[in-house]
This record gives sequence, C-alpha cells and structure tokens, in this order.
Amino acid sequence: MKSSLKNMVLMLFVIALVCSGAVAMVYKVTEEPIRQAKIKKNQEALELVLPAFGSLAEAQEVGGCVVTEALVGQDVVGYAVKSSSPNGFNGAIDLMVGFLPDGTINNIEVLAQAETPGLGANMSAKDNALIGSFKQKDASKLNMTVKKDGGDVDALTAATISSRAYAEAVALAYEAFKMVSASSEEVFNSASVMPAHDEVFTSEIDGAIVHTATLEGHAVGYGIEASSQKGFNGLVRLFVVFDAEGVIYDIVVLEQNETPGLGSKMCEPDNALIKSLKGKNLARVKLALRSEGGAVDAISSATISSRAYTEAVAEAWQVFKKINL
Amino acid sequence: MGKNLKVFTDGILKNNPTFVLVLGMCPTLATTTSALNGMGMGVATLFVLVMSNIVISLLKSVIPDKVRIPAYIVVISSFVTVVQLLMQAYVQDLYNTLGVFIPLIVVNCIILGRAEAFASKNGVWASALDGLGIGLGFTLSLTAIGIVREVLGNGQIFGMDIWQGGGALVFVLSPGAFFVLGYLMILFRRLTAKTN
Repeated sequence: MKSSLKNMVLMLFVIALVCSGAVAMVYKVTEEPIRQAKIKKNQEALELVLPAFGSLAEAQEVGGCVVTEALVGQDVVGYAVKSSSPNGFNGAIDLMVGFLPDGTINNIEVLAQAETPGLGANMSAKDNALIGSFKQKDASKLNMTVKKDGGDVDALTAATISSRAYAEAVALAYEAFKMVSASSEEVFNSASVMPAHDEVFTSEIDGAIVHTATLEGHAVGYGIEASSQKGFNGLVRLFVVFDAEGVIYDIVVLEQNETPGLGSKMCEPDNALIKSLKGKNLARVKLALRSEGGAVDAISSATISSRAYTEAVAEAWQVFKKINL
Repeated sequence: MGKNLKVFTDGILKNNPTFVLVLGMCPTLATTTSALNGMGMGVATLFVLVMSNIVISLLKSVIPDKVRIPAYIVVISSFVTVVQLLMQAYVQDLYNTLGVFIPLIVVNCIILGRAEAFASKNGVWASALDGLGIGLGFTLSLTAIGIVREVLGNGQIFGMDIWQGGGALVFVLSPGAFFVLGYLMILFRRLTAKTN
C-alpha cells in the first residue's frame, strides 16, 4: 500500500486497535486460571509448611510479609509466613515459611525462584542443605546467615549467593512471625508481671487503665497502661508496673510496630531501655534519653523508638503520681 | 508442495536459526541451563513465530511500506503477551524460571527477521511453514544445547538423574553455554555439510 500519511496513520491505528483488543480478550480468558494457579500454589505451600490444621485465618500483611494463621478450633497451631528476598542470583526468591507457635520452623517451601539449575535451584529440591539447617529448629536460637558469614546455615554447594538470599528471606519471615505472635498474646496476664500479691483489680483513672495489686489489703503494685504515638511506625503501647513507692518493677510492651531488628528490640528481655529503667524510682531519675540529658539508654540506631518508649513511661508515671496523691 | 516442504526443512537444517544463521543468541545462551528450560523457550518462540508469520503475511498488502516495522512489532508483541499470559495460567513454574526472557521474545531478531525476509514476501501457507520450520529448528537447537549442558553439568536429563553426584558445574554456568554452543555448531555444520 502507498505510504501516504493518511494510510500510515490509519493502518497503524487499526493494527494497534485490533491487537490490543485481542490481547485484552486473552487477558480476560486467562485472568481466572492465573488467579486459580496462584491460589492453588499458595494452598499447596500452606499445607506443606503448616502442621495439620482445621481452618485458616484471614491472611494479614506484616512487615512486608504475608502471614496466615492456622487454626484448630480457636487455637492457633501454626503460622505460615510468605516472605521474599530480592537478592537471589537471578532475582527474587519467594518462600513460604511455617512456624509453630513456640517459634520452631516447621517447614519451608520455595514458591518462586529463578536460580541456576543444579546450583541455586536445588533450594527447591527435597532435603537440601538449606532446608536441613532450618527444619524443626528453634528459630530464636538460629543465627540466620550462612556459615561462611559466621551463621548457622549450611549453604548449597557453589551457590552462596542463592543461599544467602534464602536465609535472608527466612530471617525476614521470622521477624514477621515474631510481630504477629507477640500481638496475639495481647490479652496477657497482668498478674504475672506484678509484685507478689493476693488480689488484682482493674480501674480507670483519668482515662488510663490501672491494675492494682494488693497484698492483705495494702496496695503493693500498680500496672499502668500507657502509650505514645511517636514511635517510628506509630503507636507504642506499654504496661508499666510500679511498686507502692514508685520504683519501676517491670515494663511490658503490649503493642509496637517498630523496625524489626532495631526499634522492635524494645520487646526483648534485658534490652537497653528496660535495663536503664528497671528498679529506678522515677522521682529521682530524669526521664529522657541519655543523649538528651536524661538517664535512659536508647536502643542503638533506634532513637525515635526509644524516645516514644520513654514518653510512654513518663505518661504512666504521671498517672502513678495522681494515684499516690 | 515440494517447494513448501523445502521451506519447512530449510528452517530446521539449511537455515537453522541457532547453528547456521546464529540469530537470537541472547535467549539461546541464557535459558538453556536445562533441557526443559531450553525446550520451553523454544516452544514459546515457535508459537510467536508461526502466528506472527501468518498474520504479517495476511497483512502484507495493506501495511504501508514505511511503517511496516512498527506494524510488525505491534503484531509480534501482542502474540508475546498472549504467550506470557497463557504460560502464567497453565505452566507457571516454567514461566517463573524463564522470567524476563519471555517478554524479551519481542526483540528476538529471528522473529522480526522472518517477518521481514519471508512473511512479507510470501503467501500465508508458505509463511506458516517457514515459521514452523524455523521455530522447530530453534526449539530443537535449544533443547540440544540444554540436554548437553544439563547432562555434563548436572548428570541429569529433563530433571531425571542419569548418574549420581552431578557434573562439571561450568557447563551450567554462562561460560558453559558458549562452549556447548560452539562445539554443537561445529558438529552441526560437519553433519549438514556431508549431506549436502
């Protein structure tokens, strides 16, 4: 056909129109099978990594991972965490990691990988070195880096990069697991963190919830719920326990959404924050971070989280002062 | 019919895209880490090649000469998208393994080359056979390279163990792709030279 402007524009337009129409049609036809294939793969992986379960809770997104809780009746019997590392030899590696409620890794399934066949791709093989170093191990006692980098993970032979990415994805999944399992314990037993007592009652003082522990009619401890909105990722909610004199007996983190490995350390026992506060009488201590002239040691590299924590403790202290007036 | 048959066999032997024309080297070297991957790539390309050859041959008289390349590319990329969607729906594992090389079929010079050199000058039937021949030639070559690399590098063929303990890993890695391609090219030319 003659290459006149009209011809060229018209023909290109018609071809593009017909082609996009055809592609749209195929898209419509394949949309459902693609979705089904993904769901099927997901379902298979869930069944592989979780212990026997009755039903599955709604999947939730936590810390960049997708977490699905497996239930038997009302009890959580396992967590399946879908995580990913972009650092594979040929791009992203997607894993599904199954945890038992006590933090044991039940099983791991590779959802997607494009590693070198015979090398990194062996991560999908049965009983490979990687899965061997994770399966049925207590995640809290594992250093999730490969042995070459000083960790506990056996790398696949000649596939260190793939193995590193795999370990990274598992570590990420574990962080998400910790966040989810911590928040599901929210209905915690306040009595367990109070000084020795024979009775605990709950009251509301100026909008704050106060648990008072008594021994033979005398108050021996006050647990006060306090929070700060100024965490690195929003809310930090604490349960601060004072004894009758205003000495901090214990602090429990009820809720936080801080960066895993940094601010989230506030949940760990004996972290810098709790160490510098426990046993202190707040009447004699300046409640501010050490870098800001106070007496509280911040968690390293998590100043904002530490400041929010301190702020929540200060709020609890204000409530305590009102109680003791 | 005899002429058409020759078009078909030429694609596999005399005009073999990998060993004779040496076209489409990027997917050839990158995806042939195993026999199955090589074959999957070959079949995906075969489908796009046959379909685009047919459509371009049908449209050759209505496409203005000066915009023929953009028109071909639109047709080719549509078929590649179709292949991509179909693979995602029905062979998701293979789709994940081949990854970016599936969309890259659009720029595989074999396809645009056949559109330009053959389909735009010949009838529908001949173009379809040409696409089928070249596509089969590409598929067989990629599968052959994949088999050799998988056997030597892994001790496996199509994922099944031939012997225990793997092989020389270099054949699975990039340098192995060049070694195997080079030696198979020598072999192929030796064999076809004799029959000619």
